Amino acid sequence: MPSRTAPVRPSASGRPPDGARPDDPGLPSALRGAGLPHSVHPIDLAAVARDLWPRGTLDLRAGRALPAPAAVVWPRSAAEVRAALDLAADLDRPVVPWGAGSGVCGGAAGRTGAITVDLRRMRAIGPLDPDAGTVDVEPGVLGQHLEDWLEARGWRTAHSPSSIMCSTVGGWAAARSAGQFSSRYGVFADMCVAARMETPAGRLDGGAWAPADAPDPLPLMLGSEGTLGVFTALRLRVHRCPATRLLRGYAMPDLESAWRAMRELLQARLWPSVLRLYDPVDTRISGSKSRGEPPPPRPVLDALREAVERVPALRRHLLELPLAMPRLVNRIADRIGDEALLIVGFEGTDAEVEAAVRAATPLLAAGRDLGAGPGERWFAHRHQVSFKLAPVFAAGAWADTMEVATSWSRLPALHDAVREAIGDHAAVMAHFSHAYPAGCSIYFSFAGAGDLDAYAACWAAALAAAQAAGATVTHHHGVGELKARAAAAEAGPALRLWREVRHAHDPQGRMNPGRLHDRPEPDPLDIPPPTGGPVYGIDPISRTARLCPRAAPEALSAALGAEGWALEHAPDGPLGAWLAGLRAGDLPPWATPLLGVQARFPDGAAVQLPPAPRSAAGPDLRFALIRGARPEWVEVPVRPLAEPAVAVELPPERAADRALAGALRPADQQGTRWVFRGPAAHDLAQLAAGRTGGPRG
Amino acid sequence: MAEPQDYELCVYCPRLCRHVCPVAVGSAREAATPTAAMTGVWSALLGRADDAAAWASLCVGCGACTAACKHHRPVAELLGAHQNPPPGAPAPPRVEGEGELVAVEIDHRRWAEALSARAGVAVARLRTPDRLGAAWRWAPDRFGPHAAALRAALSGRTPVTADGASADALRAAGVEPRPLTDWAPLPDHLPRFTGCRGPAPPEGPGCCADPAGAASALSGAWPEVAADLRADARARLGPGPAVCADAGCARHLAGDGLQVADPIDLLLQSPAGAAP
Repeated sequence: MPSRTAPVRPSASGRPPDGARPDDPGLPSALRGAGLPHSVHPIDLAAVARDLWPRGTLDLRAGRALPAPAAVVWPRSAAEVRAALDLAADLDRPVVPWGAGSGVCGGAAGRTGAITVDLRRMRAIGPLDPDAGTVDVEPGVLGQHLEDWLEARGWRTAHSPSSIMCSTVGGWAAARSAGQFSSRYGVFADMCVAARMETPAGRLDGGAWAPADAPDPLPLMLGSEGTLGVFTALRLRVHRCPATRLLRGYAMPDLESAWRAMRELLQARLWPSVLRLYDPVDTRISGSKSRGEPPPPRPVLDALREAVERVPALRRHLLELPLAMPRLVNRIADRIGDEALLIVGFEGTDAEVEAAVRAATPLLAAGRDLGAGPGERWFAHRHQVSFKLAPVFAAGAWADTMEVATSWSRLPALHDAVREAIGDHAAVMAHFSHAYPAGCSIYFSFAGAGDLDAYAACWAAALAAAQAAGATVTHHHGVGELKARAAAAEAGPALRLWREVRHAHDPQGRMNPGRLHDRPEPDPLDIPPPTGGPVYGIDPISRTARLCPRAAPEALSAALGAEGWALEHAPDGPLGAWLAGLRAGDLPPWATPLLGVQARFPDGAAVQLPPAPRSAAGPDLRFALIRGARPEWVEVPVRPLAEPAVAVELPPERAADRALAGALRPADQQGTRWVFRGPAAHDLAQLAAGRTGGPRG
Repeated sequence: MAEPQDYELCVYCPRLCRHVCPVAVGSAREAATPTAAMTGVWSALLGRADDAAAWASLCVGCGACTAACKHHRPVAELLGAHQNPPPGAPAPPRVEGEGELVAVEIDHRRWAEALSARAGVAVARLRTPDRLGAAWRWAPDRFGPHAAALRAALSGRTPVTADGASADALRAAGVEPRPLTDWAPLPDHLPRFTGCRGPAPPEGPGCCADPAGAASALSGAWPEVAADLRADARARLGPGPAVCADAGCARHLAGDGLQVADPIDLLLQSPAGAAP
């Protein structure tokens, strides 16, 4: 069980907080009595009434009232967070944690009658531990300030969401954020070594701070979106700033060839720091300028837009005309060609980058090398994307983004299905900016005309299409209110595990009610148990296999070997038990030992969580499902037996060098013997042994 | 007067300038973010909220948001347009003495002679009790004539200032000042507080506001926010000696009991030689 330092505080009225009571005139004096910095000034309340969910923006534009809290509290310490939660319990008020309000799903938006806990006065950074490669940080630090602080000391987290200037570390943890260098450094959940939060029931420690005698709650803390507790401290993995960064653009003939190249780069274990693919429409908009080429002939719509812009009376309707005809716009867009811009980046020492580029070049042969321009341009402007949506709203239309993810084998169908679904309602384009060996996310950008109903209809269609295609409905934007129903459907009966956890820590349901998984459990699907085994299926494109969790390692190796495959991570016992017992630090941070699971509860309800790389649809329930229900299959990464491998014996001091391991990423580390796999194995082994490449910085 | 549509892009923008705003960062107050303040003024102009000045007065007019704005919107200027300026009018500028350089002296310290010794040229002085009328720069009826007087008084000369508010007033009048740090650079061995007008330190910018209310509306309308900012600066600087490029900020920090030297102190400590 997680550690607790305070007793459960029952609701004063014995009823769940509804957040809609008239304001209590005694609230300010209660806040003063608790010694909490706070405000009940209407300006401070209005400022936290909306996050960046476009629905709130549409409400604001239309003059509809936004739900403001009853008070804002600015705790300066974990003790003051504790005091704020205790006071909320005494006053029977819901609590909404607030970082910087950059969430786009309504997870931090105001709630009438609530106490909003704004964490930005908890902004201490440090200590930085160069030996461990970690930094401690409080949750209210703005992302840009953290990276500035680290870079001044030669380090960085390498977490670079496009919201970095307007989001906090606590927000990253709450919503399972992902950054632009995720293909090499992982998403925030991969970077978080430890976390601490205050819940209504007491303190909760996860990761490296978790008690050794209980399951690690960190996977359930990350992505909890303020519905479990309030983060008060985090320990993050940090990396030395790279000596070399190389970015190149490639014009790929079509999306299919680009997907293949991305997949092969990742499955070849080359760990590019940047891997961004723009669909043909986005390539036309973003890429043509990037190449430094003369602008292409302008589409008819652009010319029309320019003409209308000269007439002030029509400017307001500038976008409504084309956006009222999204199918037509999308059909025009479909005719602009198939070419897609792929940006590939590597970083590290000169020798490491050279080795990666040498191995990557043949895998990118289908593309036309555009040189450094597109990548350099993207890098210089990498945080300037989201501001482009503002003019769309100012023109009377709406715009939004949606990020879904699935395995490589399902990616084309997912792309087509969601694009078609959105395309009935809005002009749409997509890029692919978070890719992993087993799968990839798709980031749709879309703009439409009409009111809130049109906006909601677009989202409903898009979410339904994503779910029908077997994808996760969110890769890094979280759930909030926007995706709550869809995320609940995705989790299915696994929600009951989450409810148990939540009830243990927030028995009154006081934390951020109505968000994340605060939805009824959907009816269980009729999912039969698998038959045969121990191998139930192999996905050679995504390099994953569905396996019996109770099979012995030898049986799995034999069955997979007969098909030409091997387990990526060798268990030391039955696969399910090994996975259930994994703790932080057991595997290297870049390892992904579990991708999907099907399990059954004692009442017969079955749940299937298919492979969805780095899903941000709430907390990671996969491991909890293995522990809390009977797993029927687990989907894990596999590798081809024929993959080249080079083993090297290292001097002890090099074998103990975490930074070296993090840079070169051996497939296996057994003491001083490191094994490298893939086309760069030989070069990497030489680098590991110090035979080439010189010292690392 | 600005129209609601002048504020509208900020209403829809994802707060991409919040990390450079000294008031928002230092006070950790969402209402002080330029986006929130612009939204508040926009709502007031549309008749949906009461008090545009209350929102606008959370801005100290440093212009960091304007510099950071990807839409190239004059955010600080738009907020300033809705601030309530102090009563009265700026004091008329009077330049004393001869010299191409003019020392802008904002407090009891007289440093034109020291600058003359350091620079090796004659230096005139301009003593100003109200930081060259910076607090009125958003009030065209009063600042317009004052700006003309400033331009006339400084015609053919270059003002030198260690005060960000005075520099803002000069720029608003169309006169480009030179910073005193060109002659009295800050030493590297002391913690540095750059105020709201200097380059952001790695820890993020900060601002102690103006407790006398002479240069910004903040301390008059939002004394608790000004107190938050000073407390943040105290916490960041610690108890030891520090330096600050902005004499106005240094004065406020010193008023809170901190040992903070500014370029004027550095100049006066060693007028003829190299900076200590």
